Amino acid sequence: MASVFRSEEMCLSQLFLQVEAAYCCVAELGELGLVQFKDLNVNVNSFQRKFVNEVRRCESLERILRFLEDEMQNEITVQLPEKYPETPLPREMITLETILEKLEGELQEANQNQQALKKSFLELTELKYLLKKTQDFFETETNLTEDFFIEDTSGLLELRTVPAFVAGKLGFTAGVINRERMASFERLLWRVCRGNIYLKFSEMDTPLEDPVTKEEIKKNIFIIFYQGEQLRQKVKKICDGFRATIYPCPEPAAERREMLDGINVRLEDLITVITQTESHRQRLLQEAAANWHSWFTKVQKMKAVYHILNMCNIDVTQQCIIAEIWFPVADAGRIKKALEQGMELSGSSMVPIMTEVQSKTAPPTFNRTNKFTAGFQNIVDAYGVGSYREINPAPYTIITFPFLFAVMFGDCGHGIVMLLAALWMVLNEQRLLSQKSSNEIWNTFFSGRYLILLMGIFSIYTGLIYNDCFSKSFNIFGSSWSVRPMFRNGTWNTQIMKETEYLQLDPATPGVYSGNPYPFGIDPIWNLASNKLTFLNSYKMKMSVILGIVQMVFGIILSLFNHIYFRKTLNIILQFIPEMVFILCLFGYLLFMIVFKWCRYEARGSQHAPSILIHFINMFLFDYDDPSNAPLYEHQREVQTFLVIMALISVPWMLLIKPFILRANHRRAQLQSLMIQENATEDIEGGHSSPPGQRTSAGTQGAQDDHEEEEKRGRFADLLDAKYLRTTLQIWVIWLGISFAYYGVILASAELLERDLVCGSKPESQVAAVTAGDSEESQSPCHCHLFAPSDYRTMIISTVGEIALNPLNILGINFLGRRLSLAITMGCTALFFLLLNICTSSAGLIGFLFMLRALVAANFNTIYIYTAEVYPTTMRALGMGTSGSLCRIGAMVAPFISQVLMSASFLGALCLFSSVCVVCAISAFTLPIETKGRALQVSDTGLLSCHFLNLVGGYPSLK
Amino acid sequence: MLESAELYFNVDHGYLEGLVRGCKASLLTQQDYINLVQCETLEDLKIHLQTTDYGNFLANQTNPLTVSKIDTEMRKKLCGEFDYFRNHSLEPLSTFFTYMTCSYMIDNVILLMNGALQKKSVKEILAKCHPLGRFTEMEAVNIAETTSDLFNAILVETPLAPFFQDCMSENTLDELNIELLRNKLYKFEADRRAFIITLNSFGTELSKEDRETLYPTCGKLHPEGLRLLAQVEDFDQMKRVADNYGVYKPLFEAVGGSGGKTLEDVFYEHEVQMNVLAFNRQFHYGVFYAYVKLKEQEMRNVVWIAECISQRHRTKINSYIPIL
Repeated sequence: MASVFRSEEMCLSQLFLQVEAAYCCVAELGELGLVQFKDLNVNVNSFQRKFVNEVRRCESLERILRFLEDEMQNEITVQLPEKYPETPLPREMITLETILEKLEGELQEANQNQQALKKSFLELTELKYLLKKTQDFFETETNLTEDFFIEDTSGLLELRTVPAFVAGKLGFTAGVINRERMASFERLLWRVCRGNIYLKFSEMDTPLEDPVTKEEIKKNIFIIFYQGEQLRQKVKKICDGFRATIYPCPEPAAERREMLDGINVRLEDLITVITQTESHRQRLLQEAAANWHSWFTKVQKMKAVYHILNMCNIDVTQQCIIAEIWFPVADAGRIKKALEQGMELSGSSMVPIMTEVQSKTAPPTFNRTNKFTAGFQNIVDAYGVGSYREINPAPYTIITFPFLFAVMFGDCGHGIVMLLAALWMVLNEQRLLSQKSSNEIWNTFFSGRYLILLMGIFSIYTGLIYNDCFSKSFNIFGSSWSVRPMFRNGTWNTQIMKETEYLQLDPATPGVYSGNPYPFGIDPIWNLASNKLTFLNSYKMKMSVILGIVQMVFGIILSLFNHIYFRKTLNIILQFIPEMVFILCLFGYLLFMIVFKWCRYEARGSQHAPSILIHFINMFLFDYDDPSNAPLYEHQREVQTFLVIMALISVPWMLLIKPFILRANHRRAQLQSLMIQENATEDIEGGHSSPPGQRTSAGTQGAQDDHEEEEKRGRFADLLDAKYLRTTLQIWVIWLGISFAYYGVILASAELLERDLVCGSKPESQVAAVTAGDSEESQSPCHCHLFAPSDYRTMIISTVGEIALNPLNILGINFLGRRLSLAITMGCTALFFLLLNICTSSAGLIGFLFMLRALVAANFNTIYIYTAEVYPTTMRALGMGTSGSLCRIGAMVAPFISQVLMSASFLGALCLFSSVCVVCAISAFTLPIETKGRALQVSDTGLLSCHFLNLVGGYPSLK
Repeated sequence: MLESAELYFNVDHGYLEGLVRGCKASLLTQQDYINLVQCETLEDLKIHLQTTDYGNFLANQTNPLTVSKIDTEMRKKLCGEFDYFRNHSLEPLSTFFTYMTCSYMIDNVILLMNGALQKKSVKEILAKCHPLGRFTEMEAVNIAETTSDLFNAILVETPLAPFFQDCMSENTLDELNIELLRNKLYKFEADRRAFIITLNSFGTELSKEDRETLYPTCGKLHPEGLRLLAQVEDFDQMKRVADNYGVYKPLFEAVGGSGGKTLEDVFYEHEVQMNVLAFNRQFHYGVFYAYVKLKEQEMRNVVWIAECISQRHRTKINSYIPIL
């Protein structure tokens, strides 16, 4: 079966469905799950598509279902259906709508009733607590005052004044407020009433329930005492503002008591009513919960079908719907059957027509999986989905992935634990699957259960090989090493035993190593050795290198099958073969060395065994004279040289040739497509509307799209297009000149100081000293004197120039414009180059260098900005890049002039620099485009998209 | 701010800046607007908005859809984002966010006071208040009778307090005084406000001296431009003042041009431009302000389009202000 190793063959078909049957057919295909629909209406707005109304109705059903779900939350668990419902017929939507709308209406009514009831319940409870609290409050206070009233009235004012006024002039307001608003409420009251009120509050112990949100709310009861009508108004307004509820609270205690009794009675009545409405609501919800899931699935399925239908075309007569589908060729029969079934269901008589279509676009990759391979396929897909019909690495991964994991994991005890866990998941698969957990971590493990199973098995295997079980070794067959011979031949004795901490077994001593390796895996004696880790690490590392290289070679061989399958001889010759040569010559040879060394050396000669690593490194250095590293075998030098040369040859072979061939092919294809396009337009103009004609036009449409794509990216030719030719050439001259001048100045200033060239008098003496040959300086290969501290000062000050005058430069760029400011700075650079020739004091020299450095830096700033601004976005990177490479050329030339020519003729070098700068200045002045204030362009023809921010102040003017 | 604060900017605010730039990328594009304008009904609008970053924000609304529902939901979404930013911000960015809410708070206070004057119920007006400018004491605004009352009782603890210090007076709060109060409070978006105040004062009893006190004392116009503006008597004179400023000259030239734009429209467009430009630089708080403003403009655009659709007033549907 080829399809295990490659992705399946796909086929693009046009599907003609009768309008009435379309829904059922698509639904049947959906139940099958083997068809991918192409969106044929990419350019149509989502709300202008054919079945948008149906989608909308589905959405409103979904809304009702969500409402029901919210209502059920935390109250009733939704029952999962045994079996998922089939896609409902379109007419079922109406029944669903009526059922759901009725349910929604009833539930809303019930909710409203309940809310109203709960609200009055809340108010009554609040009032009840309020009355109780005020009762307590007044009782404690009035008891006191009554005593005092009887005894002595004059002491009244000295007492707590509040209760006395309660009966008399003071008014009071009592209410309930949310606890979190209490603090600011209190402060505001105090501020507004200027402290002329008395507020008493207490926390309500029982938490209440908000009738709408059903959240728990905590409230405070407060009583405010105040004097006078104005304050009462203010207090009332503030209470309103803070949404505090004010309750009427009668002043006489008896009335309060009466009221409390009344409220208690009403509360009891209310509770019975509330329980009744609640049970009614519960009944409604139960009803909804029983069917909720199947409703939800039905609506989702309907919506999905309509979404697919929205992707289809409708023919001119409105009689049939045209869909384009991708499906695996192998399943064509099942798909036809499903279509027929859909047709029967809808009661239509017209058989759906399926015709194959040729397509230029690559078909989608489809790898059929089952529950075992799915996990592995997922891992492979995470790294990248293969192209259509490419070899699918997943089947190999089934073994290699768990095996490589186990090589790393390598402990049979832990492996058993893993195996058991995986086994539990695999054996209870059905039960666990039906639980449908939404825990992401659990689902990750569960979907990888077969992977974990295999990893467990392989870990046990490698664990046994490593002889590791929970980091302990088994000694099943008995170790091949023996300690006794070491004593027998006298190497060890009791004296040594006492004195040395570590004893080393010498396998060269006869009898110490039996000669028969431990039958399976690592000898358990290593578990006792102090160098266990060193030994095992080296061993495992080599093993990993071998496994890794084998795997890479295997991967490359798989690519060979791809190349053969797709008949790409080019790839075989230019990719596969050099890749193989490269990897085998270098890493294949490394493998050879490892194995060779294992076989070649034994215990007796192992002290003299050469290091593979050093050999491998020396191989690249062609170094064979290393006395500490003896050759592995004869003719090693010849073999290795040959291998390295082969590897080196394969690099350009692999990387250089293919791009050029591809480019040539692409050019040819472009030319052809242009010709086809011309033909096609003629066809269309000729009025051919036959299917083949349509097909070509569809084909060229794609080609046109490709072409447009390319057009958006800039091409090198665009730079030399008539529109930008002059600019480009001039910019190149300027870049060349600027970098030439910049690096020239930097190198020259060092040169000037080194040789004291400045005033022309010293060079002769210098030269004379050199010829005399007895000067100290002439000993050094460069005829120069060492820098004095003053030279460093000069250098530092002149370097500061690059930064110091930047602000001036920025001002210039923004106000004079890019061209003018560049021309000015370039001209000044030329001038200062010539000025260097004048004999001045050292301060003068510093000044000139400072200015020069400032100017050359300014030139660079300006040209960077200008180049970025002058090209449209599509070409900007290209323009900057080519200019940058010109700049490198200038930089490369500069040292020859500023160091070599300068030593020959100081004036000549300066004049050369200066004249280059003049050329640049002229070039800058005559640049055809000024970019100051101009908006950045997206492409040659594109509209303005954004406005570039100037470096300083102001915004560019709007056009 | 510290010296070279850019170096440390990302430590504290890098996450939020990244987030706000991501949010900015989700603003409706020109193509989206073109599609929105083609909508026939609000339902179409809803379906198109579903394909943008607004997602299913209208999914739980019962039919029929109204413009105000769309507006509230959009506001809710913006507030959600804003609160997220604010809750995850560190100082001094959190203070910056607080400052950003100030203008909404001022608007809310003014709205409530106006409502109280017209004897409307607090609840009715609260619904109209911008949710970004809510604060607990807000609802008690109507107890104040004079500005100093307002300050002493209600606003002293809010972030608005420093703004109020300059405009304490014992005048009773009538409609004109409230409007004056509003203009005295706004000390930002200074130049635009100055122009708009001038424009609106034509033909009212506001004296030139009073007008001058209303101008914010910052911005590009301060101080010469403001002095000139105070003497202005009609639009042409105002334009002549603006001509002295390179930034405002083109704006005034655009007024009344293509499509009969008003000065306000032109300023809005300019504001959008500036806000978009704010995203060109990194390491500053301006992006947060700019994002909220752009989002608000987007909401205004969507509401405008929605209004045009629902009132079947298609001729003006294109006068929204595109952002990107």
